Amino acid sequence: MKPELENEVNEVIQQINNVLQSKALPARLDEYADKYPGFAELVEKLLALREFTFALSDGDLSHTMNLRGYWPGSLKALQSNLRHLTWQTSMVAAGDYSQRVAFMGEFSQAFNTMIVRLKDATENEQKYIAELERHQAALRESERKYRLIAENTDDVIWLLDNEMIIRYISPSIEKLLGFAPAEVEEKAISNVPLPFLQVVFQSATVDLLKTEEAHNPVIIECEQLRKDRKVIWLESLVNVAQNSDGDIIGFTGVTRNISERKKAENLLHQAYERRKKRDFFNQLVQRNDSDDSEVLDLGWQNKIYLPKDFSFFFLLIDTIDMLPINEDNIYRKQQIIDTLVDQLNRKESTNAWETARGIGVICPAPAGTARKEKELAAAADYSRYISMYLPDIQAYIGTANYSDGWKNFANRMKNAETAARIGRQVWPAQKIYHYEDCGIYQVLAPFSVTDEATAYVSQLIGPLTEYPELLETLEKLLSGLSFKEIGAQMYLHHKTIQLRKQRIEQLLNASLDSHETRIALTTALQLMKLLSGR
Amino acid sequence: MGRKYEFNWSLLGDIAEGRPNLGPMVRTEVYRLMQFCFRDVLENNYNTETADKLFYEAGLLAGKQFYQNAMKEAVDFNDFVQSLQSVLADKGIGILRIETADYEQGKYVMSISEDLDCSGLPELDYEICVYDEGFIAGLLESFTGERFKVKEVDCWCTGDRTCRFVAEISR
Repeated sequence: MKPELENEVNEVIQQINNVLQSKALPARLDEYADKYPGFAELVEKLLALREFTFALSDGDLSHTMNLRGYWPGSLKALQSNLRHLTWQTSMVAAGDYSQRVAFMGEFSQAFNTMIVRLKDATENEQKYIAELERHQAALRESERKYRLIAENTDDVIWLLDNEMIIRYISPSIEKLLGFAPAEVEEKAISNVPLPFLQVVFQSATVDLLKTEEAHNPVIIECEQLRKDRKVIWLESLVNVAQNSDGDIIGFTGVTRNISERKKAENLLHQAYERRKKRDFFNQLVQRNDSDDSEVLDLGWQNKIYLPKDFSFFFLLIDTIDMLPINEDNIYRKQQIIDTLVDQLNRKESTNAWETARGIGVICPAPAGTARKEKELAAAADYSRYISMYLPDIQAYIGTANYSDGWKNFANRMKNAETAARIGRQVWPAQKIYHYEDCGIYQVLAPFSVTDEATAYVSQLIGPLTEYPELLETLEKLLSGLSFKEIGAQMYLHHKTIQLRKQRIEQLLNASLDSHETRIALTTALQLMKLLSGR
Repeated sequence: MGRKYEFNWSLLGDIAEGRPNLGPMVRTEVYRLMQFCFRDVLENNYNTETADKLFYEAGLLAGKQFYQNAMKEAVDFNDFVQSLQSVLADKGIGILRIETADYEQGKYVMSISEDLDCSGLPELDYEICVYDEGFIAGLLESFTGERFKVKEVDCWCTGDRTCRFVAEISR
């Protein structure tokens, strides 16, 4: 070969090498392409292969190449495989884990293993998510039920944390106390008008946290002022609140209104106290030799606080006595007496109890002089007290004569009752009576309850009972008034009074001028008054 | 006038009964012998275009029948591809790979490696898998209900290692 030709061949080979090895194209490429058309075609194919290969290496799988043959075919097969791999990967990304690669040697195995693991992980994740969703749904349902209960029950459910802050309080607080949850939630109990929670916190801290053993719920009762200024009784069932680790995070509780129950309990307590006093004092009435210390001890044992010396009053209730006797009225009568007894017992230093015919009342005896006046003043005070609380009640109050200690308890009771009874009959407008003011009635009263008293009255003034005007005239004649004075009082002529006197004497077959007759008739008239009140 | 050779799947016969010893498989060169001889005779009797057209139509009919009788019903395109990949591999027809799928445009690029019709043929400077084109069109039409036009762009016979087809909905 000629050296020139050999040089040119070498140069052409170098140009082709540069096409394959250098990024920049050889400078004399066009010169040789123009000179040798076959060289130009070869270079064009090589450049197409370069471009296609570069695109593949750059991740561009969309490049096309119009060359045919083994080398381009292999590159296109690689492009096809990579495209299919891309498609399969997109299918996997869309959740199709059935894709498998079978045409890329070790990569296929790694890829397929990855898909299997991805599938397992996804399935596990889906199971976990499903489980989580089930838990969350169960939690939501549970929460919904608890909320339903909390929002619809009249009881108030609350949660206090260890810092004494109200973390939750159910909407029923508004119904119970008038405060909206927003007014108190997330606030310290010292900054909200709910003192019952302070009582709860203090009591629960003492009762629930004194041991580290199992905490049993405690019940705490206390009063609470509502927003409308009404006081109600609350009962709180309190327990410790613990987190999932068992740490105590505060207290939780349910609070309800127990005012009605308290009222019933109070009524029951009052009934018990009432009955206890009634039995105690009525037993004392059965005996008239009570020793002071014995009575005071007995009272102490029964938790009835007794004064050593006392004033004794007896109340007759007209309103009750005038009620017709039937089942309803018996109940009503008892209700009135119970109310009156309870009300009197609320008065300071007063013991009141129901007796067979009225209400007995004792209070510490007034000290110093003018005891009778002081006792009448105390009776008047009781009268006003009764009128204030029970304005419909018409009470007559008899005051017993005074005696130190408890020895004459039974007699004083009789005296007070007598004073009330005599007073009601003889001086009904007065309402307050003292036994010492009853005069002759003190003597007549015990006799007035006998059958002989009725016979005595009938024997002496029986013929006049059909003539009330003659009875009135007789009483005035016996009082020592003159005919004129009586006539003036009765708006009659004095001669009419004189004629009436004659008529009375005629009917009674007795002379009114006789001192003994006058005493006997006077006694009979007083007895008649007492008898009419029986 | 009634047709004599109208195709139906039962014409394929009961192979298990008819070939208890040889079985359902036959050597690839025997299949290709019949196909290339058909192609020769058709071209001789008509012309190249007509021969290609008849091969495409035969493939189309085969694709439709194959979908109806040899494939399970697919719920989506992915399911269809998986089913087709599986059945083509099982029957030794080829290894199908989807390269791109544009569902909105209805354009798909797919390749078949180790193709029954062409893999291993000498380089001929032209694509020869016309029957495959029709076959793929028949399958896609059956699955989508749309008419498809399928063209082979790379073929073993043109020196490529795999046969690549572009399928597009005919609008």
